[in-house]
Amino acid sequence: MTERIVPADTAGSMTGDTTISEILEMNPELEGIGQYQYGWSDKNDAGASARRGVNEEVVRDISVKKSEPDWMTQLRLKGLKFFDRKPMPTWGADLSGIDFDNIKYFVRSTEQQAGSWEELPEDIRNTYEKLGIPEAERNRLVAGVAAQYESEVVYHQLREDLEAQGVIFMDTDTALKEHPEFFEEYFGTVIPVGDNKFAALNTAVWSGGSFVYVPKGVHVDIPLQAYFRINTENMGQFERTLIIADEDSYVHYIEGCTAPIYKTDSLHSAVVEIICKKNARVRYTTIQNWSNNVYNLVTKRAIAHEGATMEWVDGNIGSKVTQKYPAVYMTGEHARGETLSIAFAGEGQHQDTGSKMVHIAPNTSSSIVSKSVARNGGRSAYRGLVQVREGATHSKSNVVCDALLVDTVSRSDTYPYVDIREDDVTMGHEATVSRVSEEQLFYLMQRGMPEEEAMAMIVRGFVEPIARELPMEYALELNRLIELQMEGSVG
Amino acid sequence: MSTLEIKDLHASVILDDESTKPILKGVDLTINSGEVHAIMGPNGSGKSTLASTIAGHPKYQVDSGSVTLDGQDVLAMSVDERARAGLFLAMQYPVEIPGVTTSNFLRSAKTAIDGEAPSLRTWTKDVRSAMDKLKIDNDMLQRNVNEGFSGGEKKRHEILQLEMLKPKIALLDETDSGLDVDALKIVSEGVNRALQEDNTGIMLITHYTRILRYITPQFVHVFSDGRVVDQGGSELADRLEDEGYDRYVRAAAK
Amino acid sequence: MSTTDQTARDTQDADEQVNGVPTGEDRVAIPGMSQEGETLQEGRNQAGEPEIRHTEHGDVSGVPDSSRAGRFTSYDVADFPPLSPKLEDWRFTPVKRLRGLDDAALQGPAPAVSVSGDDAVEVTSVGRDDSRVGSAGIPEDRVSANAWSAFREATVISIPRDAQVAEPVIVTFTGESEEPAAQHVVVDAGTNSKALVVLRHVGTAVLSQNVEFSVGDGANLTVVSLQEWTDDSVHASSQQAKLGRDATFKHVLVSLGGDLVRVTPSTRFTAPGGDVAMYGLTFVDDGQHLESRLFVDHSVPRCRSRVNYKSALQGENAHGVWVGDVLIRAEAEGTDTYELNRNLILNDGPRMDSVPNLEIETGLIAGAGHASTTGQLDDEHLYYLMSRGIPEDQARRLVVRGFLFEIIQQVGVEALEEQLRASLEDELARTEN
Repeated sequence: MTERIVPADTAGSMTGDTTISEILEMNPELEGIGQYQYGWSDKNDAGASARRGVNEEVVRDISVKKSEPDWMTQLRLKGLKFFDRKPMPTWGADLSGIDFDNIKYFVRSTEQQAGSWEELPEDIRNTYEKLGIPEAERNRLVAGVAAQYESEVVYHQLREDLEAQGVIFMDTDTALKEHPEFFEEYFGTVIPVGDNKFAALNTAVWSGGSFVYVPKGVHVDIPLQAYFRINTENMGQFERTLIIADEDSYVHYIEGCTAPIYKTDSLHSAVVEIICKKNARVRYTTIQNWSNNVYNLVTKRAIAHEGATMEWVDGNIGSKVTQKYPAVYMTGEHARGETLSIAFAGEGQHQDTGSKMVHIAPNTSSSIVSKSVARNGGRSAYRGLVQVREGATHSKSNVVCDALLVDTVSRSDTYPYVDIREDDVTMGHEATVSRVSEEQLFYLMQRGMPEEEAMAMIVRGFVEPIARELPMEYALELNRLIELQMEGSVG
Repeated sequence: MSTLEIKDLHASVILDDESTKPILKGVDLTINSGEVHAIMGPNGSGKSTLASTIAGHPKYQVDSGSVTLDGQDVLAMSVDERARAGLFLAMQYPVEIPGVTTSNFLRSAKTAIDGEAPSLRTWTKDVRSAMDKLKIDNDMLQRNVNEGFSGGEKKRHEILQLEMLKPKIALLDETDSGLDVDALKIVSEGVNRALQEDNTGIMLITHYTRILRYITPQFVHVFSDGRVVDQGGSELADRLEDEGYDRYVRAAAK
Repeated sequence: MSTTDQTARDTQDADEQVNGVPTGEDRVAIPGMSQEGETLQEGRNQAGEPEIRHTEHGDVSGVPDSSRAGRFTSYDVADFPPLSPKLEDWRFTPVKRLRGLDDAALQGPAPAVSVSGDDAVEVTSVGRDDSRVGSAGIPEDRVSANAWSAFREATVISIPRDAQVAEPVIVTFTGESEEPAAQHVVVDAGTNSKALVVLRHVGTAVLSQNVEFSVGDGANLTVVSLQEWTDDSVHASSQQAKLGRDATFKHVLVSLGGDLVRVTPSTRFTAPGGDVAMYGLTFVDDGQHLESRLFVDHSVPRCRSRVNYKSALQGENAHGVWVGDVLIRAEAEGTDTYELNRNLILNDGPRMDSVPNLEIETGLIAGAGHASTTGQLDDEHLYYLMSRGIPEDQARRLVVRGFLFEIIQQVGVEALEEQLRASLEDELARTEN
């Protein structure tokens, strides 16, 4: 689904190809959107006093503070065991800078979750005002909002009519208390407790995140939105999200992420599990704009039952290191998985991203489209796997990855793994790496555009096929970010 | 009233291995507003190099000489500054810009040249009207710049930009090549409109005399081996039509 | 408690519960997955599943082995770790079927060499100390290093400077032993020479082979490497090429016979202007493992590479592997490269792994890309032909022929092309039985 805003004052006068730059031009008040202004930090009593490091005591303490059932405590302890045992990955980005003993694993910033922005402590409320979240809610751009600050969700709200239809959208901690049956049945079933070192760590110390349940046949027409904010230095944010879309339902979930700029590093290691039941469709959009001192190591996986469609739209702009490969396991016939992925790697950034599609049932189909831009010494890599297991006959998969290099010091790699165990399948993979050509720059500059603007225009054009899939305010943010990324990119 | 003045211009092409090869060997030429100068000559004589060098293409370096527009030193300007000063180059091989719509491109260029965004309503109307006259389909605005355009569409798109950006001096680099007679007429009408309505000065680079039936040059310059070897009025073009360039090529070889 | 005990306990708790809620293996919803994640492919690196797939070893420790730039090379077999599917380089190879090529002393008789062709080309047998031996490359894996340690005499095929050799040089390697053996071959193409050399492997062998191609400045060398072994043969062949300034090298690999055939062609440029084209054709039958691992190392400016590999697979446990690594180093400005791999699966049972890797360290390239497809015959093509009255079996053959013959046309020796077409027809006839 493509969401577009047509500006009211010009609706009808345009040809329908209203591009983002045009909208910006017509709505100058939107100019500020996406400007990286997220580098501030609030004063920080809770974070300063939080303890560092992780062990059994820390894990038990989190579970006790949350009054969790025994089985969850046991699962956490198991996660800790797997985390301790599993070695650090030796592939992908350099993770040697992570000091697990220096990280604060749990920071409680406020005693009570708020149902209105006014109830929040002033500094936290100001943070979200600056991020524009309450405004989006007031303007009904979203159907529900959850805001996570440090380890816990501090604000949440869902449109009343959706609540009446049985839609559940709340923070994961509260959901575990109020709807334990979903957790007993689904938690940790898509991403098992010891799946990988970072998922194991998340299982041990998880806190916050969103729980979404959409009942049979319910279509949530406008997106649910979650906003994640790290404030404390050396913070580890380990939110855990579980989305269950019941038969024939639809939901679009959007998350955004920011953090202050500190000299030392923080760790964001989330786990997102999604269950798409028969004929359900879920779209999960991420615009990750962590500051450049955050290690972003996230495990995201969906299971798609018969006729279900799972769509990942994954934008990676910030962070120091991101390793993230959203996956879809197609276990039912005619299930479909899609990933649109976009990554920007600027100075000091390593974006190692991609997607994983696993065809288990017959007649399943998948598509991965990845676009990456590297500049100013940044490094981007596409790493993906398409696997067709025995029995997944008549499956189809297509992978397209394009990389754009803006200068001579940046780097782009492609690692598209393909593993096919069935003969009756159709597989396609295409990759290109291009650089901004002298001729393109000359053409645009000959029409009067300064070099930076010309460069930004070419880069925007390159990512346009993905940007058009984003909700308008995110597309605008992406555009602004591209321009910021391009600033100083030419000598 | 504007004047582009080229004096004793020497320029070289920069080859892939960074070595250079001299192409322009002392060009003198003055173009005023409202004038049409046809630059004619055999392939490889340096006509396109002249246009690209004036526009500031990075593949060419100026060795000596000067180029001024109304007294301002063009050679000291960057490519975009030259464009904003009023120089327009209609390219022989316009490049594709994937993902950028023609509509967005035209308006960004207009905004850059004028220093302010054009009024939305009149702009849209003006573009539409210019497109109609050039017999360009409306859907070109939604297509990506030059992507999948036919040869004729690319050339008409270049002339559309000429009409919308209203430069002081336009350099048309073999705009006639690859056009059938109908398209040639349409493109020529666009150039004539720029002449009459905007008083643009035109440097018309061409290998053939065909386009001169539709655009009448006041001056014809024959180019060979990097310099102007003969000049005259439009009657010189007629002679070239009959005799070809052999005479000049042989002279240059001596 | 030791780590091993811990693993044993954790994996035995399928029905583990706390207050009726499963907390063990029963929680896992995805087939082929345990509570420790993917178990379907042991030791395989997968996106999203961080796990060790590299044994720390000597100089290579700390170098992410996903980068070809960090690939370890050595003449000494002891410098390489024992083979294991956990090593990126060996993750697809059924190591047990190598019959000792990685560890044995390789004292068996090497396949006999016979040569036909132009007299201008000199074929000699030389000792290890000949300067041409080892000039084009250092072993990149344990099996290759093992052969390097074991071979006694090398066969050198030498094309003199400026020679324009009209007739193809056909070198036939005839194996007659199942004892593990080592062999070393050098093809030395002198400056500005031009020649076509066919390396034809027939008979039965268990062989680790190092082949070096030294392509001089301005030389134009075409090499066709044919693997037509009997079905019980095992062949590992490291084929390394080194190209001089403005040299042109065409490498055509055709693998048809053998139980396990693993060819690893590498091309390195030493000066600008080099041009390499690498073509491959494999036809994989029941139980065969045919593997091609290519590497093109763009380390100097303005070189060009083109890769086009195709394979057809049929039958139970037919396993094809294609890995194409292209590395464009920071110095290699103006590089132009494209890799293509297309695989056609003809019936039930085969498995194909296709991995194109592209690493780019400079933005100043002319162009880079790759494409890989694996699929069955296009039903539309079949339908079209059948609607014109052609029976299905013939229609299938027509389409497969069209698919594969493109590579055979690259061989450039008419008689040989004819034989290869006939061999493929035999292979295709098997499908229909």
